[in-house]
Amino acid sequence: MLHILGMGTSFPETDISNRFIEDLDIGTSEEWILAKIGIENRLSTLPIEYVESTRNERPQEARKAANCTVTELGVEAAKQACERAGISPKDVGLVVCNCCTPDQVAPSEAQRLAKELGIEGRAYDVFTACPAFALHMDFLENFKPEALPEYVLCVSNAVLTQNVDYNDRSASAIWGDGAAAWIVSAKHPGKLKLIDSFYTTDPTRCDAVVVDTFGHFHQDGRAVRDFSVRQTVRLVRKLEQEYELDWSKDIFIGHQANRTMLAQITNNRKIPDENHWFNVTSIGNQAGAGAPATLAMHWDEIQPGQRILVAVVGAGLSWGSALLEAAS
Amino acid sequence: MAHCGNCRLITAVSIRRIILLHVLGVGHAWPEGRLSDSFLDGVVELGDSRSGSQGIEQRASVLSEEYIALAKNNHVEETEKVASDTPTDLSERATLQALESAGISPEDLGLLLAGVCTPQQTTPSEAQRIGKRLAQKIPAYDLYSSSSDFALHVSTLLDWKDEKIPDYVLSASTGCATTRVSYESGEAPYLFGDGAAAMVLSSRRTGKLKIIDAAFITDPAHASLFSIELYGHLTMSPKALSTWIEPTTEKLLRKAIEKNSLDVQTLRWIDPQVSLPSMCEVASRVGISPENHWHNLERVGCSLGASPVTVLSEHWGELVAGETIVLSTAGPGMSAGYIVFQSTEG
Repeated sequence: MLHILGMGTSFPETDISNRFIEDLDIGTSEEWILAKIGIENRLSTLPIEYVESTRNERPQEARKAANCTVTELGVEAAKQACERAGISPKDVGLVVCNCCTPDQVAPSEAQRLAKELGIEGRAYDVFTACPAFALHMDFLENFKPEALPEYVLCVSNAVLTQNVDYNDRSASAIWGDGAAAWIVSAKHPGKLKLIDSFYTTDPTRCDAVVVDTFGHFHQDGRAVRDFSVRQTVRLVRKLEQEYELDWSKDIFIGHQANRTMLAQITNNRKIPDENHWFNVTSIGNQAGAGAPATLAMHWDEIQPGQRILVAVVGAGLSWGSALLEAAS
Repeated sequence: MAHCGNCRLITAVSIRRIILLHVLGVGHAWPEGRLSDSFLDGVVELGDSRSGSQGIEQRASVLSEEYIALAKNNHVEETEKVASDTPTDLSERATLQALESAGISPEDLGLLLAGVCTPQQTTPSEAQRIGKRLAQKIPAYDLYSSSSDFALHVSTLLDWKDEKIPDYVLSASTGCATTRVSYESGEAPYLFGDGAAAMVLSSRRTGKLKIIDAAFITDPAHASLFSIELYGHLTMSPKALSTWIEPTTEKLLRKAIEKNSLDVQTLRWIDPQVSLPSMCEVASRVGISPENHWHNLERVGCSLGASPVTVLSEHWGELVAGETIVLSTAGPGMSAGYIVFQSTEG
């Protein structure tokens, strides 16, 4: 049985508002963005002047202009997760990381994080982009409990605003930057225990969402949106039936792609607003960090016995879920 | 010999029960291009003494001599336009060879694990790109530690619950390190090559090789010894080989021998393929004879994670039952590991 002992987040400080995107004069408006994807604001590692003056035509320049690195976001999130778990980074025996926008391709992002945190245990990347929370929980659940160290640090961090072409009205409106981290243990009980996990992919459609190493993010938006809603609804429906989820008290967290997509899912499954946690409206889509960051932001509100379903989808194409139950 | 802080890590390598994980097939792929010493001598500015060749005579590369001579690869993004193959082209070829030697089809696979040190896309994962080439709809994700991908993959599967391991797992590692080398000066032009390797693993079916042990360690405190910038060049500290890779490889090799009571006189050793002189010294100190020390670094250069398994793949046809092979990995991370194989009748 896996437990989550603590969670943390970190976000950059630059606001990218709908009005700012409208003012870029790229054929979109504040009203259109709000109506179409329901995102009000994004947080970015890029200075607003850089975005305005360059439109980030060359992502290579974004790395130099950024106010902080993706690793720094990960480190801050990890420190908060450790603090909430009541452990020191030195107690961590394994670091696994999911990062779709690394500053270096070797060593792994997990190894860079471990170095910055002074962690001496093993570290490697376990990577699938957006459904990182489901992958990491399912990956760790595969282990014999005795093969895991006492504490595992999972991190998902992304700075996709650095790969956005700000002449592209769709991509400009979607992305934000952020990091989430969580401490997992098979040996120590924590605030949340894992009841069920699932992860899979359909690589035949992996070209639908792409971040080119030397280029920008691009996707087949309509296909990805249809896939995301359909797969998430399927995941939720299956777990509703299997575990008799009660949406009057249990919580749903979906992939933080956009608000209207999430609304389609919650409307379909009749999940009331008060039991649906999200952060995409104020931060933007943070890729693999979005869903766990949302949970981390609500960490102190979790009620005893409450079940939390995290159902996530994304690049790969991949999808998965983790059903958690709060300690009584 | 120099000592470093990773000694305590090696003693912490977990002891696991023996699980029957078999290698059913292996494959490898290199690009057709080769960069010779004489070509590099004419392009690369040599320092006071040339010490970079590490016993290497030529390197496999996706880059042409013309491009390197002209551009010296000063702008790494240009390699996307001029490279003969992508890392995924190489991993696809290695995978198809591994599947063929395993006697299974892509439809039989239940899990794809991969690593890539020079991705042409940072999303999706390399495993998913391989899955697309194979037209498979199965779980696929990257399990990545650069030069120690195979030790990581195998040691992870050995740590899993038996029922969680699919019947057939593909483990692959690929990289085109030459696309991240600056050919202006230094030792890196002489060391690195490109390549991919793949293994088909199974815990249900007997294969030509049985895995009897594996280990994987990392030493993040020394992570800055070796790096590849996303938008820049590869850098390797001159001390990386002598202070980390060589001593760590030797310690882990000795650990594998001691823990598994291996006969050093007869075991075959595949080194991490980073330096031939250095690894020959390790072999000599440990007592492994030159004919039992397998390498291909001198012909294709160091392709990081893929390298050791390309050596295994080249020797696949000559394996006879009862042989013991220790495959060592070491490099960026810093990370290192080993896999101990025993050949069977299978």
